Amino acid sequence: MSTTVLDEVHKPIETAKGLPNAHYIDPNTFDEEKQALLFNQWTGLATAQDVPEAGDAQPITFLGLPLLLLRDKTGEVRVFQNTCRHRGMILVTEARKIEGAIRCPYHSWCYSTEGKLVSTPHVGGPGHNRHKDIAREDLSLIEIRSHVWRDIVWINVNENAAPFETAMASAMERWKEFEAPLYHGGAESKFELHVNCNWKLAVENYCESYHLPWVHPGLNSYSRLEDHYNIEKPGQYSGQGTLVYQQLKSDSGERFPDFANLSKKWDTSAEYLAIYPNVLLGTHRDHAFAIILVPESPEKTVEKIHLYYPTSDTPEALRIKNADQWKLVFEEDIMVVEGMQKGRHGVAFDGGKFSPVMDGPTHCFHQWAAQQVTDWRQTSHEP
Amino acid sequence: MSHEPVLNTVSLDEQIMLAHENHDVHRLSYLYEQGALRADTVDSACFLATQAYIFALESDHHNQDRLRQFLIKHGREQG
Repeated sequence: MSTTVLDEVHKPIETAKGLPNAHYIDPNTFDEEKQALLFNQWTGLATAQDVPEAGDAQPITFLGLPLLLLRDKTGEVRVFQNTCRHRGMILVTEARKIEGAIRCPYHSWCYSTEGKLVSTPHVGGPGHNRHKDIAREDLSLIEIRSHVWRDIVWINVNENAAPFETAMASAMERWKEFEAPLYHGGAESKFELHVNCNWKLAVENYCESYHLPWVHPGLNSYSRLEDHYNIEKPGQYSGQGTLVYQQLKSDSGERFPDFANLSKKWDTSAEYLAIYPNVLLGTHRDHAFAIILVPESPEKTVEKIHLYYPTSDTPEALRIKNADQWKLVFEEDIMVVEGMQKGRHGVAFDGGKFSPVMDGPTHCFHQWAAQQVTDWRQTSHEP
Repeated sequence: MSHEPVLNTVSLDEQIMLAHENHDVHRLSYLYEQGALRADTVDSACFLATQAYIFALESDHHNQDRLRQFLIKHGREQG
């Protein structure tokens, strides 16, 4: 495998070029980025509301890794490798409630919802359930490092990222006024988009406002390009903000309630952050959303979208209207991310020229990606 | 041990097979325990009690502590 040359990406925005084509279309580069950009980071896996009650379990295959999202009997959300410690059998094959223990369907080794190996039937012969060489305390399920913030279950597969609160300190500080319970809008506030593009193109499109007047013309009437600002936190996140957010109203003038104790700034501001690598967050005075990008292959991504509100009793009709509005915006973006994906097969494309004024957030993301890949190669992983 | 009804017209083996087909884990625990009660050797009883115990763990059946104590008493489970 040949490695890509990233020198041009590391340059300042005025002279930089974007990531080379291989970072969007090449399976070997996709595998390299799986480690450098996803398993090495705090990566969005799912939402905690996917397992709302104690004992709820959901198997998830993430970048080929079989995982088990589980809410244990104490209510804590955990992520395990969905693999029995005995013969490597997959433990849970469909979303269900774990009533007692997780029983492996092969030889019935049993694990508690906290991952402890609690029984090993017939392991010392028929009717003998212990053996001197089977130390149960050493054979718990492999737990994946995880953390829940803004209902997102973040995982660090390679266990080498800084503690979550350290890694996310800047984003948490930026949005500290929104540190309040988030209430998921329910079934109509959850949808998926399957897009034929590399996951990074969804990040790049999300974090800049340059495209808004062209791709989302409906926003022009109240949210013009000049009402937006760039957000750049090198190495962590980038995005955009608007100064003219307008609340959605029903025909009868009903609105969503606000999050409590927000400062005046948020009356008309809203922000949209791409938290590297794969979580896209939006917040407004009266609702929030999260998009988890699930990379399925170099050229296929699933966008899992969830909308949240400050209280549990918001009007259903208004929630549906809001979800429809956002779905329209996100669907309008499909044309461009899939178009960019096709464009990356143009062999003479050189990564692209950035606008020094408008493309800062995208350049910020490219520099982060290039640095992570460079670091990964330098830690003796280069083939 | 438990006193959930066992139909006399159908053998215990047949009932166990039916419970396996229906993935009725709760009933499997009960039926295997009945088998353990009828066993004529300690080894046979411990084998069947193990089956009952595992399905009790899976289904959070109320008989799990009793079965575990039975197995511990015979040196078959960790105390």
